[in-house]
Amino acid sequence: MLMLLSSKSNLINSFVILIFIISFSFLNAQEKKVSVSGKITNKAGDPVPSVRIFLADQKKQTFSATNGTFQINLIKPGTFKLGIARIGYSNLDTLLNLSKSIENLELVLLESDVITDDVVITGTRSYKHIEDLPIPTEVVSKSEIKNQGYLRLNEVINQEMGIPMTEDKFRGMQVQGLDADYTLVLINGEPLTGRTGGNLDISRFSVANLSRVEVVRGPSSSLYGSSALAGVVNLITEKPTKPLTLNAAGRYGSHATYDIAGDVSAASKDKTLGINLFVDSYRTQGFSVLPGAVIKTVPDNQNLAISSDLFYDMTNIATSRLSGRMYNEAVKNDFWKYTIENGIKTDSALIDDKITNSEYSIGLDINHKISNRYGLEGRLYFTTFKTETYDMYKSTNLFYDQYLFKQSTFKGEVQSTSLLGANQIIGGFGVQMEGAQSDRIADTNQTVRLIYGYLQDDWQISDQIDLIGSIRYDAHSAYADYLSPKLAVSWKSLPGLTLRASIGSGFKAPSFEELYLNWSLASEGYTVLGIKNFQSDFAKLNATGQIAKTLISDVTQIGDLKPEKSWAIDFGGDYTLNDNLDFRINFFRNNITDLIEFLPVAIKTNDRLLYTYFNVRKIHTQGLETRVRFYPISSINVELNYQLLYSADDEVEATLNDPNQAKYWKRDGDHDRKVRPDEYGGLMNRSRHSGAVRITWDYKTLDLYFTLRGIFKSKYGFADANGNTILDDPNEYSPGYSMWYLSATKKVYKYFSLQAGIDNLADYKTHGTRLITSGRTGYVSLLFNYIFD
Amino acid sequence: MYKVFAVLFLVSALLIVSCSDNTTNNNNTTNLNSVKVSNFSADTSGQTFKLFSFKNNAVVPVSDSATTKWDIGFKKTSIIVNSAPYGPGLAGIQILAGTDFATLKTAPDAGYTSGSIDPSSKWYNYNQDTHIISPIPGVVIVMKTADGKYVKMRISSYYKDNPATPDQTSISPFYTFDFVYQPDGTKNF
Repeated sequence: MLMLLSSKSNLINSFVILIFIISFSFLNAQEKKVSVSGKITNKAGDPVPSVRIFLADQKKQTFSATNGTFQINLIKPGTFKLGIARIGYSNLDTLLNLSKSIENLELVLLESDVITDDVVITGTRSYKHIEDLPIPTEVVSKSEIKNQGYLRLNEVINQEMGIPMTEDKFRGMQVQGLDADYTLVLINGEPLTGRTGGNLDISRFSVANLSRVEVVRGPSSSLYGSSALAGVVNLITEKPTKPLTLNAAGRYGSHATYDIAGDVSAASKDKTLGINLFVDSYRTQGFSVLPGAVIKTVPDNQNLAISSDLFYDMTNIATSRLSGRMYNEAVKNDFWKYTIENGIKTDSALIDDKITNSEYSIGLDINHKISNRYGLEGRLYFTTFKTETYDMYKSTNLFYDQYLFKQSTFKGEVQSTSLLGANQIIGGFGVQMEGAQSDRIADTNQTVRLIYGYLQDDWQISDQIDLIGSIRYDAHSAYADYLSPKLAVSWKSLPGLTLRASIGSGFKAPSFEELYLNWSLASEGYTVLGIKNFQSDFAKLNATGQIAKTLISDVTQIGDLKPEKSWAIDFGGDYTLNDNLDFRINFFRNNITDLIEFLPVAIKTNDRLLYTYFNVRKIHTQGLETRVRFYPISSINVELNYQLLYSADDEVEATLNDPNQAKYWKRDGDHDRKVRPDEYGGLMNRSRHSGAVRITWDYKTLDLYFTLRGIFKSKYGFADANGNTILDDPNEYSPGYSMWYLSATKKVYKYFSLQAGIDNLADYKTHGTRLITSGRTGYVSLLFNYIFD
Repeated sequence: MYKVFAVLFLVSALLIVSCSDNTTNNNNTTNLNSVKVSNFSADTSGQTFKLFSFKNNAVVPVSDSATTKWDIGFKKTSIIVNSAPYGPGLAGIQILAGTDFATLKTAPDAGYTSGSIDPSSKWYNYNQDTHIISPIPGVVIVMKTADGKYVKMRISSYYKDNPATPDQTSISPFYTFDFVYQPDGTKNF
């Protein structure tokens, strides 16, 4: 008799799992090694292929064949944990007494729409177990977000994954040493467009309602198109499965910062209908580095986010999701305006600066499962972003300046997923229309069109080897077409060891500004023209006698801009020593060419320059990312994330290695001399060493949860100080630093938790005169969680 | 202060010239003094240039712009010299990149442009983010004066009081530069 000793679900939500053991039999075996074989079917009795069956303690696994059968050989007799996993079905985790071999074990899997923590979607646009994925991916789950008191996305990216944030006006994430606009940010797979100056301010995303955050490192343009060069961040919300869930959280902290978030979700009894609504209101008064200063270093910010999803399963036909999201933000600050005349500041006045950003989006996603092996998905998405600046004289309330930029995107996409033997093939195509409106772009209104198609084959060559190839073609109405391929492989070479490698290409499309800008800064007198309207606008300036002299030989040659493109290689692996210790390492190299920059092309008669955009620079970044996770005892988790980074501008590097170069010199005492190649510090704003440390203690007996987190960064280039434009001098660096965060969460009553924390424990503030943070801040939160089952 | 400098310079130059007649004639190693000019204001409220004479180490009034009394003129970042189309002199100018000012011994024979700097070369970098103008290290401006004498010149700063790291509060255009003037008409410095 087969003994089924215990059966428990490892789902985060305790969803019902059924296992039917239909028949079993014994085989007497004298040999030392035993085996287990059987067949996996669904409720209708059809075989389910590509199910992963593993013996956790033995580090052995296999996949079910096309007819649903499987076999694992050469097992030392004993009692093992048998796990079964297939995306779209409930997981199974059970103890199996294997003192003797077992044949004809029949298992029935139940379909499920609950996604477990170890299943990810971003890297392949299909659900896949993270340990099977050849593409480096990290997941932060809802419980991690809650337990550590994370409020905004930038905290999760920085403190949880150790991805450095730059200290620019926009705290941008720097994945693999590339700037923030090379990482694509998605919400449930749909791109966010609201970028100001190319930057997406990720601190505006509340993480309170997310079921998880997935981060893929390396280029993913072969699936997602533009901007996915360094990586993809996907914010995921999920279908409610409980009749009623209520969550509320309120936080108050330093600088009169408060955040109130509430979400309610409900599901019908048969779980075919689900709905959720999320509201988040955030306000900070900001602060000044200099106490009492009129101008705030971090401005007053008030924002409101509302989102809602409606899920509906048309049983046996399709699943559907309708999502809506809105975001509204008001940023207030003051600044001094002045002009320098005869070396003296004149005409100075305090200006009241008000910026309003708003974003609305709506999406419909219908997923039609035609059979066990074939599915079709249609997606419609519309999003609009508006940023408006209004400036008034503080003393008189009279108008000073205003600026408006509006951008809308409409996207329609169809994707098919099919299982062919050991191959999962995904193909899709889509159309995207984008419109922008601003008085700073040519004709104040522009529309562009993108048509694209992509194809991916995920081929499970053997139990050990998974190969994924993908390719995407983007045809755009305003710039050159682009083809992005990617190939990735994973190899489970030894028990506990998975090796991975990938090579791929990514691209970043020219922005609306780069294509259509028509802007003159009155106070400075210079003009910047987008590439598409350059010829016509230049002709107008020339005809009206505003061009004094051209700086390049043939201005008529100007007229096209290519996307910025990259080639990247990643390789590395995961090693799990035991349940208490695992390592991950990933080596990377990114080569980016055709970087877009604006360069002067002519001198105007007012003695100021006229600029337009060119594909000019080449850069590269390389290094390694590594993670160690350690559980000294089961309630304590220590995690270390570290990145080593080297970066350079290819032209600078080549020039410095030329003994006759005359371009990059420096002052040394009273002499001028060549910059030595070893003095070159690479690209600005990048630390050689960076990362994060995290210690969490889940003290269950007292319902207490402590975390201590630290981020660290070695020195990084801040700005050129000696006039040669490159990073080569010790005083061009900002010093390195670390910053520490402490939080504690205590369950106080059935539905309530109290949370308190201190950010920036050591009260780290400035590098010299430059502000890094406001110094130590604290907060307290009250969390409410009610689940009706 | 300029006058003090000018007197000192003239005295020392005369001493050097008189000495060098015996010791370093036809030799590239001379002991011409380098003169530092600080906070030279190139702010011209009108459309004219601020004019300067190397020989006298002094500002020349704009009313003398049609004479050969001046050698070089500044208007914000624009530099002109006293030759066509800006003046009646014989001046010429060129930029030598990748050159150490202190050890440059000889002015080039050719390559001088009339009136202003060849637009293909530049003496400063402009930072598009901070709008800071920085003189390029390793750039030496070599020129012929209005009366055909050779000068080498190095610009150190475009901002008042030569701040180590200029920022947006730094006041421009105030040149700090060093120059060596060879009064004997040779190309040797």
